[in-house]
Amino acid sequence: MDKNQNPIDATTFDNLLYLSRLSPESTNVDILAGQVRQIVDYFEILSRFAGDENPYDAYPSTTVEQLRSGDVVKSLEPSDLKKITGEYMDGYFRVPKVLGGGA
Amino acid sequence: MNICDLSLVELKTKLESGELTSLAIVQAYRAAWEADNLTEKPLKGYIEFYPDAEDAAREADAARAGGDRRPLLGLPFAVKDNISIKGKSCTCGSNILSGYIAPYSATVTGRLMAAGAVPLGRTNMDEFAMGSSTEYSSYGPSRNPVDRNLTPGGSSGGSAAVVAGGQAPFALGTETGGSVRLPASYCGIYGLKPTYGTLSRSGVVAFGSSLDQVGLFSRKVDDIGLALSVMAGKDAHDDTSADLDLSSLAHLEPAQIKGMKIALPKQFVEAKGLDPEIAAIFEKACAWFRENGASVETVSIPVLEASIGCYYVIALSEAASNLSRFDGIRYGLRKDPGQGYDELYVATRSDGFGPEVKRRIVIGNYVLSTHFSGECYKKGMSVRARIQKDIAEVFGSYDLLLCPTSPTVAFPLGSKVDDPLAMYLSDLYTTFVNLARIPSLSVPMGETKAGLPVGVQICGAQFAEEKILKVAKAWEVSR
Amino acid sequence: MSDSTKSNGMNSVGGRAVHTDGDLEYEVIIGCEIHCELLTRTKAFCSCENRYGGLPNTRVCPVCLGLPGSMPVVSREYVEFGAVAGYALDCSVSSFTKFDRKHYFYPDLVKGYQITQYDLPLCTDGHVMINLAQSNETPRLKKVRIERIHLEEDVGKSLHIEGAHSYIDYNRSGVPLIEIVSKPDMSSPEEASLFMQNIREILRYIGATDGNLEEGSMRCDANINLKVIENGKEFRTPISEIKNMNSFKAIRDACTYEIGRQLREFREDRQVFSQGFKVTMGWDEAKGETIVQRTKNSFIDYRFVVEPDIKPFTLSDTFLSAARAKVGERPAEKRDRFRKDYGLSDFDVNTLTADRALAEWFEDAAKASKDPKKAANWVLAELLGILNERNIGLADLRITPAHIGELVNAVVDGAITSRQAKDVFTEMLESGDRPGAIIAGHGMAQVSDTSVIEGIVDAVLSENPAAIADFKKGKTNVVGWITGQVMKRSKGQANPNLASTLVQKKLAEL
Repeated sequence: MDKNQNPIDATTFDNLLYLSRLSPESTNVDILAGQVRQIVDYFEILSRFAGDENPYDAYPSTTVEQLRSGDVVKSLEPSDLKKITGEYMDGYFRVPKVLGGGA
Repeated sequence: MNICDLSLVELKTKLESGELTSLAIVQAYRAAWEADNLTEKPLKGYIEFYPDAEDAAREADAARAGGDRRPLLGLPFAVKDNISIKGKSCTCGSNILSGYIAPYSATVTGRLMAAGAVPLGRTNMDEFAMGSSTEYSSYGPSRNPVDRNLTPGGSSGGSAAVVAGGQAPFALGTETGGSVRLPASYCGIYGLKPTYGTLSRSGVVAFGSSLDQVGLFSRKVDDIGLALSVMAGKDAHDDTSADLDLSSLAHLEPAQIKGMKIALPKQFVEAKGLDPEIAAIFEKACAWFRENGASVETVSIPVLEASIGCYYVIALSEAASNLSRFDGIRYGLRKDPGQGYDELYVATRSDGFGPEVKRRIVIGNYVLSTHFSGECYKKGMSVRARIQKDIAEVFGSYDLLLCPTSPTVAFPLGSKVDDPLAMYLSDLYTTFVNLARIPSLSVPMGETKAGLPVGVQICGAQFAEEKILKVAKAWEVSR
Repeated sequence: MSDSTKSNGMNSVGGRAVHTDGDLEYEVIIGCEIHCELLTRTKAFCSCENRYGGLPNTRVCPVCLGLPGSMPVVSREYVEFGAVAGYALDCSVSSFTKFDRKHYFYPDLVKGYQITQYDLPLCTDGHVMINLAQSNETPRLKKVRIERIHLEEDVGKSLHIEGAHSYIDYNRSGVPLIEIVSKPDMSSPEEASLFMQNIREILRYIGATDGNLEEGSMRCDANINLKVIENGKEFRTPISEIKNMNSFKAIRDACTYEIGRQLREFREDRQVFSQGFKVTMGWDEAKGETIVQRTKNSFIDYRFVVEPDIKPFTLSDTFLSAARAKVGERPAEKRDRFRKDYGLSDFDVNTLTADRALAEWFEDAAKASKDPKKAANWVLAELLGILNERNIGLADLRITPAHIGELVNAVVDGAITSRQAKDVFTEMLESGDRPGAIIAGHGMAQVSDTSVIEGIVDAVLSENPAAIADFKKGKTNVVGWITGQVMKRSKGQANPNLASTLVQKKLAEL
């Protein structure tokens, strides 16, 4: 864990902005730095209180028998899609050029 | 009779008796809203008062004339800007969703409308529900009807303002860490955050998925019971929704307070930042319970000191994740500098999100990043599991938990907007409820000398909505 | 490029072949990740129909479009398919599992994250046995271990045409996949290709997938690198992750190319990389080379977090047992059994078991036949040809396995001759009538009554004194000729063996 007094170094900051797909110019770095320090403090508090609880106990669970049955339901029509964006043409969503797959 | 002063249940009675029509009701609310807009400091609780609200009201009146007796027929409600209604704009108080019109309704609004209710309009909110004052809305802030220089609270400030300000009898909001209870407390009305899973989140734009719940605002307890009875229940579109039947809440009897055991979380009620006037009002509330035969005692729940940290670690992580889908590709704002899709993402998101939302996304990604290999979030989960366990233990011995809703009263607009960290502390007393997934009702139990409302939370064990509403009803009828 | 590569075969350490390239020795290390679309009725997390093709964006809903407020709901059927696939590949299936979010930005990924499984995959620790030998050789089996199988959703498809834009179809967004991750046990392009073929065969067999490679039902990513030994020192080349290959040939060719390219790169450029450093690549079939896909120094951080919208869930023993039972007999097991029980050749076994439906059809016929080998012949020599010619499936036939059984038995019992059986077959194909009915109807019943045949033999002999004379002179081929005449006179209905015996007997008595 990052225990530096400097909340985050410049490279990490740039990487985080890129991960968030946000431009550096649009974020107030000073306020952000304060929030980062705050979050780091919160981590410390958590460490004090975290015991050997199973993290998944924090989530209600269910059984496989209760899952959705899998019947087909028709949903949106192309006319619905035309209403949510102007970049829908000939049945496709138009985007800037992409290559291959993303992951 | 001023229509705008009537509660939802009172309106229902008058509709059923024929004394009022739904059209008259809607027109009254529109008139109130229009009149308010002409004042020097309008509430600006509504972002949009639907142009077709009267049409829907006319339809309801016609249906009633034809024998339709659905439980909410013709009754109006306001909805927070992050809950979908098919065919209506849903922008979450944000620029990035400008132009987005929902092609489907949220299950909660769908159920209200299936029961005959009439949507009046969408209400203002902190952008993507991130905030405690409604000042982070891209539409500008809303005002507190009690004192228009003050914030109505947030993030569901608009919904609280319209209900407290006589522009709707009932409104939906959402909570992640107190965003219904806090505005209810600041504006002097009831605000319920149900148990996680009681109300479906399908169609409700996600902020912190494991914390979010739809909440209800009203001026009378019965109104919440009536609405909840129609809205609650398992939804096939929400895997986390609970299988329960709350139809009995349509008719609430006051609870028997005698013999109840009430716990006060020591860590909060003895906290340093608690306004002395609020402490005094809270003490009076405890006295009322004692007078009515309940035992009231302080209980130490040490893990509550970690609740705000636990909340922010989980909420911001989930928020950063949930807001990843806003990229300008399929809906909403699109800013394309023409240099490829990555640049489109950066331009759209930088332009479309407000500053606080952007900061929270960065922090959330920081928590989830490889720096910590997911350890921070996991730690948050562990602490949360502990909170849930310790709170459940308390409810093993106690009926209710009582606690002030906020350490302060409504604060002046502009006083905290540049200090997000100070803003975070508004959630001090509320976040443990969301973490523990329990229900909590903020009850307007008093006012400061300056006349500012003070809310007190009545919290119950998971799925104890009926109990807490009945207790609130008992208090309400005793006033 | 790799002309100088000579494989010296099994001079291997830890089971991996060591190759020589000039002054270098190297081992090839390949691991595969196969993404396989499942044949569930609905998509992974919504109720849109799970089907290939169709007009773009006609099988979408708020969930698989990632609209604001939409929430994923997993289907029981999806989990069941995953568990059955896991058991079919000899994995352990977990009794508690959950989903996670994997974050990255791409236009075909609607939520900015993919719902997948990170640290609690549904299945772990499986394996398949691939056969390195040719089809006419004794099998040489190699174990390829499977690290894990997990559930995850597919993404939309981009249409690439000329111009500044791409066009996205989200019909495929949310289609349920399993990702099968092998351990890096493979040591040649051929092994990687065989692994893919093996997985495809098994998963098609159990009905988990249609394995249609052209439609993209299965895609393979190969992670390949080399351990190079130079003057006794060991080096590892950076791992190339060649993504989205959808044919066995592509896998073989891409891996072969990469081996050459990595050796070249090793000689020319001795950059030191951290262990596990990966370069993402695509295979350009037309150019015959791999191309690096990431141009930026992109900082990849998937920020995995548990999916809060889907409750973690337990799989009961009942559910798991039912899934295990659904696997049924797998291709290799069936082939072994067919070889043993029916004494069929490898080639015949392979043909009959290529398709599960065919194997089961044949087996039903075999069980109804007194001579299963004859049943096999009918299926292999006659039936398959008909199916191919008419471009139909087994379900389209008018006949059933019982028909074949009856036909085989009619010949074995001597009721009809093999030649007659061919006519019966042709007719029963068209009419769907049972062989028994056809035989009776045409009065085809083979004559096996000795006295009747004797009568015909006597008649033929009496009409052909010259033949008798030839026989007496020692021309033994007269027997065959006389028998032929007897068959002719009986319109082919005389039992040929009996006729031949009687002719010989009568001739001997003369």
